[in-house]
Amino acid sequence: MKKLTTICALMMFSSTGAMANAGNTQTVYQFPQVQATPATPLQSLEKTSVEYWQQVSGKELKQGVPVFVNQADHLIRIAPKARFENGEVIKPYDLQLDKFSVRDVQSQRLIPVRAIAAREQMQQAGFNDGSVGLRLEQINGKGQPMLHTTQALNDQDIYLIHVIEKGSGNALQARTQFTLAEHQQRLGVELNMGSQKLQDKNVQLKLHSPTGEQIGARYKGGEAIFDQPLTYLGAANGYYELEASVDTQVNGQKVKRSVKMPFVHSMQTISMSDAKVQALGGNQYQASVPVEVTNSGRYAIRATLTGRADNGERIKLATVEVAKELDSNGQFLMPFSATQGANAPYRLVDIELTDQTRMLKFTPQ
Amino acid sequence: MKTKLLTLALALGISQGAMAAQGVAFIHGTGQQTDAYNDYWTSGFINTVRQGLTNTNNYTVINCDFEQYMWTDGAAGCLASQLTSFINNKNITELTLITHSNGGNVVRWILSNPTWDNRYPNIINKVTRTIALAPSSGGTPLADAVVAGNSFEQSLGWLLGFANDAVKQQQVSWMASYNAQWLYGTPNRPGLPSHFETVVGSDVDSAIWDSDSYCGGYQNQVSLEVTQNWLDSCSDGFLNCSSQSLAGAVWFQDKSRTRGSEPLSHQQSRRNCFGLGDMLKNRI
Repeated sequence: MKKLTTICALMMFSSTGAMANAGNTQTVYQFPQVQATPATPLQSLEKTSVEYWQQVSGKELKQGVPVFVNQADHLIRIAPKARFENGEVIKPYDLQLDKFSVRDVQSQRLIPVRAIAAREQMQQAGFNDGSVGLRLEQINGKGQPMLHTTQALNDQDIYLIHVIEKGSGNALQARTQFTLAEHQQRLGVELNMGSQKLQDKNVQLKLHSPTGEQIGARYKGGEAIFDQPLTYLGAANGYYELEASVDTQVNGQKVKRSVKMPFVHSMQTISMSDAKVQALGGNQYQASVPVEVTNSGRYAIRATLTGRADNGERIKLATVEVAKELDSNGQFLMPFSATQGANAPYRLVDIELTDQTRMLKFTPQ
Repeated sequence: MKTKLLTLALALGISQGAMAAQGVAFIHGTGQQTDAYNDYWTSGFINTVRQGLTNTNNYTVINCDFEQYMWTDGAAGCLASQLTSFINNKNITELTLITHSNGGNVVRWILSNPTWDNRYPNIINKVTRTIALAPSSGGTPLADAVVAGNSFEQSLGWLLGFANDAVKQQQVSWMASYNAQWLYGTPNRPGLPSHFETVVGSDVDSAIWDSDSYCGGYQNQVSLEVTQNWLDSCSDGFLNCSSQSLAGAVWFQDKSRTRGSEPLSHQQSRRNCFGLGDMLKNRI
């Protein structure tokens, strides 16, 4: 049987979360054990890519599209993509795997191709968008393979070419800043191919909002610079995603890579003043924490109560989290139930503030 | 006097044991379920596992919309609603959760964010153990692959579902951010408030001549040849072993305990394959 002490100030058992959190009453939870110091807010994310993708038109696919493959172990995926035209969503025809061929652009010789997966098999593998998969049977480092189809595609239709080279030594390493402060239009981005730092001219950027809108972006001196300010705050609707497409030369061969990195647009929506802690007797305490919020919503505070042991050492007594709806100024009342006594002065440590409406985390200094 | 106290303590202990009502909830993975009992788990699996309960009727099969982000009303909110009803209706005091795939993430959301919803504390207090079958705790590169280059349409299928936020959420870098800030139970993060143990699928048997390959649905070699471009050598055909074992503690990796040392593919880890149902029955 777990020893949990939980005080739930409001227990309305209703069918929706919104209903469940209705009213301005606090939800209180005391952790069974004192919690460790919260980790430093996530500063950056890292990712490695051995693949690339690019959109091409039906016309380009019929004429021939260069594919950049440098090792035998690879997969070329071609997928029809929907497009929006005159208020209508237009989905291209399904692709016929047997209509594809690959030719070397210099010698004009056909490069043998192995059909890996038709639409049905790609669907079973998780790609339910009409993708087909193939592989080149010969890799010539000096040539330039051109993929084309004899299928009667519409010129304007859009297709995705997606190439992965598993285990490739030419891996793109990306490291991006995870949190972008309000009003900032520059995001830190490090892009390297092995020991080679990529130059601005080798990198193309796209920025996608949480709702899928595309925002112009360019790469300059290790930063992504956005054409316009960002509008969505927090992670509640998903992340912004920075998509980088890289073209570079490694040992005389052209290498193409793509990577997508999520980040969150943040603003300090809640700040707190000094907490006051009152001993209620019987190892029970109450802390009141004045807070100020810039945007109305549901907020939470998590903190650990400390006091002095008889030998003067500061000891951690209990960790509590409290949440409530806030419009402007307000305060959290945090009830602590300790299993051991302690002396004043009492103090809150390891404080973490959360904007639950927008999904933002803050660590007060 | 001592004898009297001992008798009283024993009586109290017995009384508490008799009052404890154990229950189990089956929580599906990505997808919008309306009949997960038949469509996701199958009756054979559920009916085997629930034989491990003192009262075999103390079980519930969750049906929610896990195509949404894990924190939404349709996902964790729906799960909280159905668990709360189950706890109240059956007076459950000790709840075991059995999750599959992304269901483990939705459960970790509730266990890690106790004040997000005022129904969460009561659920957290009742949950004594989560058995996470092939949880996508670290995401999957396949989610990245199906979303790649796809800002307008989110097209995907198979085990993930269609055009949904849950797939975006299960991209590897997205899960890394959630694990670092919003979810407990991964290395260097606070522990979860109750035991969270995982069953890890490490391989896929797709031999056309081997009847074991057909338990839970056959996954052909061609589709594996495609997915292996993104996955490690240790995977269940959808998730790398490293993702499945990232949160909590590993109870076992498939071949170490399954009948005939058979691997559990991602479909098989939610079906009555190779003795999995009996192992869960004996565990709850």
